[in-house]
Amino acid sequence: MSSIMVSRIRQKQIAQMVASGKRLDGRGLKDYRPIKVETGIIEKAEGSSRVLLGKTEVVVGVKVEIGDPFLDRPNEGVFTVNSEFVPLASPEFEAGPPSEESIELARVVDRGIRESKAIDLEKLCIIPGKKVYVIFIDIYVLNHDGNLIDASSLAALAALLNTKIPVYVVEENEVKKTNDYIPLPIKNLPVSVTLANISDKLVVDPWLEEEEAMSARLTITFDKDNKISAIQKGGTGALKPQQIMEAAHIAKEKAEELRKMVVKT
Amino acid sequence: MSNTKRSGEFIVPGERIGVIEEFIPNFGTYVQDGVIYSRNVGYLSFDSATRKVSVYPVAKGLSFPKIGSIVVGHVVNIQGLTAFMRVVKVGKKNLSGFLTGALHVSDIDARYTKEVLNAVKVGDLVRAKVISDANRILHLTTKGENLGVILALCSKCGGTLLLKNRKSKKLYCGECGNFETRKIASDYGAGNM
Amino acid sequence: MINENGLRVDGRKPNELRLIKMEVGVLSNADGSAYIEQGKNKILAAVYGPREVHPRHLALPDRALLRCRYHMAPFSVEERKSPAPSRREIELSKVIKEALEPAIFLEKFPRTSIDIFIEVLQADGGTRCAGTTVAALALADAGVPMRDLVVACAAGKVDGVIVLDLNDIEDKEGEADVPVAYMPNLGLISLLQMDGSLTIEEFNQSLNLAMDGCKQIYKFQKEALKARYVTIKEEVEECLR
Repeated sequence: MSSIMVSRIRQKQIAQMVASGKRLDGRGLKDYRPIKVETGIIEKAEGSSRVLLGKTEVVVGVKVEIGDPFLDRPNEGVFTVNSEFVPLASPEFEAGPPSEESIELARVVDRGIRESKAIDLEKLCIIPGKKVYVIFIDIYVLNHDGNLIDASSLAALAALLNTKIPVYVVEENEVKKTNDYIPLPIKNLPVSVTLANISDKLVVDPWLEEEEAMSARLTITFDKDNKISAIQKGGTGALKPQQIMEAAHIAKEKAEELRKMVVKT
Repeated sequence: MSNTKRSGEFIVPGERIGVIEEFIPNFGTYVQDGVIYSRNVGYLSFDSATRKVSVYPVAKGLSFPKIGSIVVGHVVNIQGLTAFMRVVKVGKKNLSGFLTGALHVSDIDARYTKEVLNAVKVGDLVRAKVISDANRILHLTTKGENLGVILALCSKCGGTLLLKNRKSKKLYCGECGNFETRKIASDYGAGNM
Repeated sequence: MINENGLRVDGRKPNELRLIKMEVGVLSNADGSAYIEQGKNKILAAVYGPREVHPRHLALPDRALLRCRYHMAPFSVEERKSPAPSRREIELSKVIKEALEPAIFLEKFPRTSIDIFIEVLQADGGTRCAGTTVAALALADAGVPMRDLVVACAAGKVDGVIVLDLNDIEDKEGEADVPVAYMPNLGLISLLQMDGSLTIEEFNQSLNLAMDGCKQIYKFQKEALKARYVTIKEEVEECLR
């Protein structure tokens, strides 16, 4: 926070550049930074991935356990999304209880997966009303250089596609683990695209300094059928209705591009 | 949203009042892209002679001090030539929290004050006037008859200091008899905030 | 969820709001306060400040720090809710704060904080929107200078129909929910979320319907402020007499 006044100078630079259609790192307004997706990087996790979005680096690990279903959904498996802003990722991150930003990140990723019905939860029931699979999706931010939401949702999807769940058999009402593994049943492929509003222009994939210069941020998650599953506006500014619709059309296009990168691997 | 507003009309923040070509925006308004909007809940006022438009805020108003506001606070710290006050009351309104104000030795009395401690001490309740908000700090003064310490505690035993007589302006401790000096307000000890 | 006459579970038309009641200046300790009932939602909001920031290192050199706490009472929902803030409440506190922030002249009060507290006494779907609407009233009541009021309303899709102002059941059983906060005079959107499944066209319709709802609620907001003001004026005149 000590750098508020310092970063203000940079912010002005960034805003002026964007106003003239350029970006500090040479990208076009609608370009993502280079993206690299790796999967299966943590052997002990049932599923894992690492996404590099420029210098932003996110690891997602998926752990699978057996647990109780929710009372109102006895025939469905359960999943949770959690995120950790580990202090090694940024001078701004501190150890301790999760920040508002970290909770928001996890909940936006969660909403994309949940609302698009990406995981086939009905296939994750072992004994109805009693035992179901519980999928823990943990987002680990290793380097924060902006746009954590897109990097995390991409990494979460890649990790889910990479997840193998152990097969359980029911013997005399007891659940027993076998040595077999099957892929996690996946029904949909949600991908989020984040745009920042800087100088009244929309900029795709804002990096850290652009996030500081933006007035508002809009994340739109599209599923594989090009339907919107989740939206989240962030930042302290406001958006015009026309900007929101423009963002939706850009995001739809970009989501398709991103999806290809994950499904390929 | 209708654009024909009349003087005396009730108006809320964000309502369009007119454009800068027609009127001169005065207090309670703001201008964006050449349009004058209200930023207060209140009454609209058009001055036909000067073409000024303003919005008079409703009775409750904001308790944030302006230059000229009379404030009341406790002295919480004295550093060198400045006493720092925790302002708890602005005008007639008690603050829900507090704000910090600075009282410099040169602003304590019309007469020369050599040391801050000769005029105010930590714990004193003081009535002061805001003279500046330069560098976003509330600068205060206690120059004037009705400004200054309104209640002080003995620096030896903590008892309440009493006024011997209004003319001498000498304070003594009701508990231990200790004599002390302060820059007192004319109504010291009267219990007026 | 929608019957053969095109009416909803509570008998409303698709583009109809629930009954709304608002009152300004309901708490004497707060610098500003307001209360809203929207359907069965009952929500209180209070504003404290501008006042010095605690802890002090959070103070901003050039503007006020805006803080917001959205909280649900343990008895506000069917099953008792733990009073500890949930992840949902923390996220909503953040989005509501960001919905109100563009409307406030924070730069007028450097190094101070303005604290907004929203307490949901009874929840019936759409509490983040009703909470935003009532918080904006509390800010106006506190006399905080503002660029515009902020008013929020949700739209969504229930049984294939785009509907306005979803209640609890529609929110849970419906296909999508789009909460929107709107600054009616500036025409800007300061809160936007969505969950469910919508095509871009359906989303566009929902957004427009939600903005229409906001414009209707804005009239109630203005009336509530006026009602508060008129009574104050009468009280003052009474004293003078």
